[in-house]
Amino acid sequence: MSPCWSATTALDALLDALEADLLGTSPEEVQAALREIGRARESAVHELRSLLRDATTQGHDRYTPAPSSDECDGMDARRH
Amino acid sequence: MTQPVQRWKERVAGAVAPPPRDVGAALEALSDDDLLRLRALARLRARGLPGGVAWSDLLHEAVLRALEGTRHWPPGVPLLAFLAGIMRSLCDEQWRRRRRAGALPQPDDTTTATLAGTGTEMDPERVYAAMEALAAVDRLFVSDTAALKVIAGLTNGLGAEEIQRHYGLTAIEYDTTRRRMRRALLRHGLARTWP
Repeated sequence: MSPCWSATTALDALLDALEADLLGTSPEEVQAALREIGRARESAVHELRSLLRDATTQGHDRYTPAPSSDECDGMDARRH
Repeated sequence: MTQPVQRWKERVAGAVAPPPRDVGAALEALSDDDLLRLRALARLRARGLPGGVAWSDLLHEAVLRALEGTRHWPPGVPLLAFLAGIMRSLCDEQWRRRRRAGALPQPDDTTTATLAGTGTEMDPERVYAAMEALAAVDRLFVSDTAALKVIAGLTNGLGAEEIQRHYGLTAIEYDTTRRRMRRALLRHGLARTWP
């Protein structure tokens, strides 16, 4: 095994393990971490909510719902 | 109705079919705790990316992919785990794209023959990024000897019992170390920069 090979594989293994750790963190531990960071929490949460809102808006713009079958036929459902 | 029109309708309906679960509503419903976890996950995964790709870009793209619905969100899988999986795929995709774009030097025949496999090992830039990321994680826990032992074990693909045995940690020491590591990752998920 070359050193190059082990660096990428080692990182993958480490990130997967730490990711699983974060996903499995108990609510109590998350709360404890939140207490430790104090006021940085509000700005971080705000930043992340903005990011998610932007992405959601962009996603909705990109993937607008399909027109109804009537609209596909060039017919307006309101006329019925 | 003519066949071409029918086919067009099927294509349109298929292209914009909503995802089986409402990702948008689930994102809205995330608690502050979940957001903290999600941010830490994105920052962690972005460590292995080429320079210039921010964790926020990675997360943004993952959310878009989730909303797109091209990736199936399996029942019973939490949203955070689903997004983490997408981010992992995006990282691989990013490196593949760079390789295809010719941004990375192609390996010579000898290297290819020796290192045939995933292909990741043949990207000098990716190897450099991996080494940088490993060093950053080490720096994060530089004052915690037990954590460094656990990290060494994890990078070698060892399980909990193997790490304890190999590095002489008791089960309690191992568990408390993992807890410290989780909290540090969460705290640093909020930090502007890693050490």
